[in-house]
Amino acid sequence: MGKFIIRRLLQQIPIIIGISMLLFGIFTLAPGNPLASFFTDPNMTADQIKHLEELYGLNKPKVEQYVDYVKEIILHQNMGNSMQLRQPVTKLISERMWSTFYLAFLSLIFTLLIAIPIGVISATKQYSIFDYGGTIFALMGISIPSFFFALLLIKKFSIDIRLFPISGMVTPGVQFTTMGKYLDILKHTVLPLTVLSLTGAASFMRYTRSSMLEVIRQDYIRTARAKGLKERVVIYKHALRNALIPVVTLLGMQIPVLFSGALIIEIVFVWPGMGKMQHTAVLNRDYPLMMGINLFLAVLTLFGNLIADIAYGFVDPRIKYD
Amino acid sequence: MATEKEVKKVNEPIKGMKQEDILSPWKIVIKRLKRNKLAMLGLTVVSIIALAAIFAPLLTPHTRDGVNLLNTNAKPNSVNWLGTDALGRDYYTRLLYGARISLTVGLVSTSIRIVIGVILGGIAGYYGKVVDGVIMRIADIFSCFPFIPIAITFVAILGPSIYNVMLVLGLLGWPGICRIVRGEILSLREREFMEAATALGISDYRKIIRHLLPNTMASIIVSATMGIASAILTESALSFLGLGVAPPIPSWGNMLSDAQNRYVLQHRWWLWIPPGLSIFVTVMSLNLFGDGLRDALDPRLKQ
Repeated sequence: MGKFIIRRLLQQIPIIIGISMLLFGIFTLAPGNPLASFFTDPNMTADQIKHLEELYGLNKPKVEQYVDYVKEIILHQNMGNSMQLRQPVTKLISERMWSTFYLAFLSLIFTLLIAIPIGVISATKQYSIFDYGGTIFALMGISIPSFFFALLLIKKFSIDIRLFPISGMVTPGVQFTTMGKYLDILKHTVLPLTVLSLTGAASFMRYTRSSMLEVIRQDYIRTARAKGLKERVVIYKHALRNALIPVVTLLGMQIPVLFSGALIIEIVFVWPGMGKMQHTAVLNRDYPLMMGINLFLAVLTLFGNLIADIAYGFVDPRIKYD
Repeated sequence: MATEKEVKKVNEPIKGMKQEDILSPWKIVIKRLKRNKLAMLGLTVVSIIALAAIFAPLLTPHTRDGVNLLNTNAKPNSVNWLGTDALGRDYYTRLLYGARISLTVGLVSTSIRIVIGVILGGIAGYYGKVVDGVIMRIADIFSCFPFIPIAITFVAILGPSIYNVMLVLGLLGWPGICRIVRGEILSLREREFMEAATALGISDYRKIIRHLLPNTMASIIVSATMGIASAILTESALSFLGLGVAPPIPSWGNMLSDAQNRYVLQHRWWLWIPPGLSIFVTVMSLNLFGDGLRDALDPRLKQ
């Protein structure tokens, strides 16, 4: 097992290099100069622009620029400065990532809490009304644009009946007690969380259902029934545990999907996370910040997949590592 | 030696069996598909939307970008069926033309994805070893990027336009189909018919194109149907964020971005509910049809 983990870790190295090269390549191919805003400034002399170019290393060959960028990340954990916010990219990411993680992590938990029970019941009562209802619910969840769903919820719950706040993570300009502050954040969380969990639950539900259907047709389930075990024990102890094994893989694959969904939802709900920051960066062509966030998300996804891979070995002892 | 008469006899249907009873594989698929009511419903709805998109100019008396500043923000009425927007453009007309854009983006980007995915997947699966390793690592690299964040990065660099959206969705989305094709070819190439093909001395190119790819057609078609649905969703999200199809060209996504304005959200439902519902209904129909198609093409996959 230890050997397997080390080998898998080593395998990630060329992929990380590939990711960074691909990203760097896209950004160097981009038209326009990142310093373009300075060129139009009448107070800038040619010397000053040249000085800035040297400062940002823009006068060097592209390959050298790439090596410098990677060196800085490895040696100093430095991804450069945001052009627009004039702050280190790493600082900006570390400030914003927690509100994204909070939303993403909570939505993952709720996704599983909704999807697994519905998937299991749908499978055990195949072709029942519940099963059809669940299937239609899942199809709708996959098909509805998340931002449209979000707008519908805002219209209903924030504008019409004013139950939840429209946007943000905290109510600005209000002093709360510690308890009140948490409650305030919770209130802001409800709507974005609902959108992310329900749309996410749809694909998980379909997956759990089909995985469960496959398992309950296996011989060992028939054996468990033949032994006279209660149906509850057969389903939840023998079948469910095996059915959830492939779902672990799906969890790993879900990480990029989660960040994609979070980006749109953060923008609609003006949630102060990485997605919102990236959108602002994109609109301002803040290349270092865009590059930093993309690199961060990609590496995060890579390690998410790796953890899912390793977890797969723990939950399924039949897997042999050579 | 077989006489002409004998040959004719062989071709004659077996006694008690009508000519129609002999079904080609495609006929079997269509027959199965016809039995699936939900899939047929999906197909019907998608066809209606596609026809509406193609014949858009015939279905409305208004023009797409016809500004009328004397008739702005009109509620739905008998002249403007879905009201007008802030520039007095007929919203029903824009919705029809929006269907053109959304469906075109879905079709074109999926085609790009499939061409890249099938070529690379075919090569990786057939040649295996180092070639396979390199191609699949590249696919791994691409699938490490969360789709929407990397897509908006690409579009931001290239500039928001309908062509760039198609290109970006196509260029980023190929690893999925590449993996499917590669996996199938990997197992197909070990089959006996491939041994026969090798014995006949057929070239690699012919082996892949004529013998291997047709056997992966079922998966490709299913994946394409679902792919169009997800491309329409992604395009709408990008356009909604102002990074996809740029106005004045209407797409369902950029029509919805008006609803980020609170006043519109509260008081002008006709500006955001219809495009949102259009995306939802189209994507749902495509998914229903895709599901049915998968079941019809490969009953083993039926869940």
